[in-house]
Amino acid sequence: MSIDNQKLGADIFCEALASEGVDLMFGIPGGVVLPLYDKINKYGHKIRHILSKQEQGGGFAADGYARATGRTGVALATSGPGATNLMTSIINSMMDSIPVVYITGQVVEELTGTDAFQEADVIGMSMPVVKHSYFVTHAKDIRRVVREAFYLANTGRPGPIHVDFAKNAWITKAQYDENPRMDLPGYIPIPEVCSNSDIQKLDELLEKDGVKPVILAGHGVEISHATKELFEFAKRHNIPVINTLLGLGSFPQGDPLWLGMVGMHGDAVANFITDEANLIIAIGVRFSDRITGRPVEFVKGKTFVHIDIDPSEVNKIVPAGLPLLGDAKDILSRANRLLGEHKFTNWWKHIGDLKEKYGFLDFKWCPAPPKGYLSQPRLVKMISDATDGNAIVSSDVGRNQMWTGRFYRFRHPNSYLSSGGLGSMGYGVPAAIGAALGVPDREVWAICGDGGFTMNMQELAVIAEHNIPVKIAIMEDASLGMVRQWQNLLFDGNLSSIHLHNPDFVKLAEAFGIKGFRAETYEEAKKSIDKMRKIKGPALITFKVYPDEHVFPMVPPNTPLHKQALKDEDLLKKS
Amino acid sequence: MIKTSRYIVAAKLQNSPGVLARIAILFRKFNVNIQAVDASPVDEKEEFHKIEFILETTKNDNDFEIVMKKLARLVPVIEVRYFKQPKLF
Repeated sequence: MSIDNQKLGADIFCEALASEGVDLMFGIPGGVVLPLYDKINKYGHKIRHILSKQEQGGGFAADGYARATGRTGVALATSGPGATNLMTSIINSMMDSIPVVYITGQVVEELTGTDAFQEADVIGMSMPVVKHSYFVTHAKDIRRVVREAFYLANTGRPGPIHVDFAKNAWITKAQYDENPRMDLPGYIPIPEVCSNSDIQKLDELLEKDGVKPVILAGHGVEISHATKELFEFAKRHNIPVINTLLGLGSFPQGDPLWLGMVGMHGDAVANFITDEANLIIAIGVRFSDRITGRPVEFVKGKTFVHIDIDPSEVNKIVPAGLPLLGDAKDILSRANRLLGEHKFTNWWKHIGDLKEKYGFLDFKWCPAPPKGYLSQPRLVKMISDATDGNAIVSSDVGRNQMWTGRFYRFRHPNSYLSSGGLGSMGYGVPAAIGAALGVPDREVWAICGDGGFTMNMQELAVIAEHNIPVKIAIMEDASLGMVRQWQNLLFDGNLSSIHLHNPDFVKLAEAFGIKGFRAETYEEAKKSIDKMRKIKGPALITFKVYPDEHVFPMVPPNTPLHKQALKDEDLLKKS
Repeated sequence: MIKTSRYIVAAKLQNSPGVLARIAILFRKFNVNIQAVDASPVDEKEEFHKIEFILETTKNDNDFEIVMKKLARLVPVIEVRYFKQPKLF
């Protein structure tokens, strides 16, 4: 074989990415990835490279892109500090099962282990928080590794794949192989698939006397593209559907079967119903502690039907009376063929009573703040109404996140982008960038707290540079709001290190060349939101919100769901 | 005294630098202690290796089974077999 037929590793990598369908990547160059960046422009017509301002921003953008599109995101960083900055994003993708291929540079192989300049053992660091990772030292391995990385990331239970490239990989040569053979004898995307007779056992459970069923629909429904099958299943059996935070959007939110979100800051009715139910049909959920309250009490008297693709999630937190392993779409469509129909009239009567008593999707547990301040849930609803629930919305983490989940009425799946498992502040703005670039025909909003916004506000430069039409709403209360709520309610009001010294966000936006708005009344808010929506490019608004507006219901840690606090006094009395 | 259990675990896998670290990190996450470890090729071709462990844990049988399922989920791991070691003393 003549050496002339061979290509540089950097070229092989770019061609491999394009061949895997990548058309967008986020990255920041540095010493050991310079040979790659020397070539990357040559492939600009196939792969658009967005220069992030900090690697975490790039990682979150790739993660947001993946959530909004369902395709695999790509984020790149150089060795050492570039790679360590990417870590939070890698963990974020792992916790929420998001397909992202994270690329890092590494010092030349001869220097590994010498504490060379910008050397960090990033494979060692990311090992506990990736689906899989690779260290590549030669061009000959690039094509196969890229193929495997994309296959692993977005099959079975999706997750992040980290590929660390020693500088040698870019500058050595090899033959380009369009169809490399994967070598993954240990990887089976769907390790176990339940039988039809397993699924039929569900009928027996639904036929039992006094059964009070609930469908708990999680992120897995969206990952599996099973929203239609879920809808048909719920309708056939007339079972209430409750979402987890990341499952929001997997079921139509105007449907009478939909009862909102469960969990620490879930809807009151959803929490009561989940608590009282004796048959939980869980689809693509992993029973986080934010859902179960106190697990020992949560499981009492309940039978769990656990539909999941990952056998290691079943029986992890709750005992699965009927585990149904496999792909949710397949299992639900088989169930729709195999099972009869149900009504559960008494159960629904009880649910109706609870709705009447505790309110539903209204502001019953959100008292209006004092004059001069705006209310976060009311602002979220305003954005929801203005966009008619059609936008993709990212949030940061904290009160803004809970209220966005509760008061934005999502009409479409894959529309609520939120750092659920990791709970990483600073997620909102970069995730919205990824979504807006990935789904250019949809309106994209980022609803942030002022704390979360300032954690990645450098990415405004990316938004301005590429005129990315992201609309940013900042809930400005000069506080780390959720921490403030906990300190108010659980630590005797001892406010410690939560006051924020904010810049003037309108001036900040304008300094980047982004149109800025400020609203201190609902009228101003409404007008500004309408104006922002008419702007073709990006826009930012800051709302003056009440710092002591608490999110209720609130299920304090390790507390059973039915003991949810609905107002300040429920918690303050106890302490 | 905290009750501990012992397990004998064998994992058949693709060998590559760091594969033992991957497994040890998983055990650490679940606070499972490695008492003994041994690695060797499964066959003469050395295509696959097996790593055998004696593990000590305070986890109950159900939770330990989850650890084993997580182990089986690691991409280089092809097969996992394990049994509980009876306490002789």
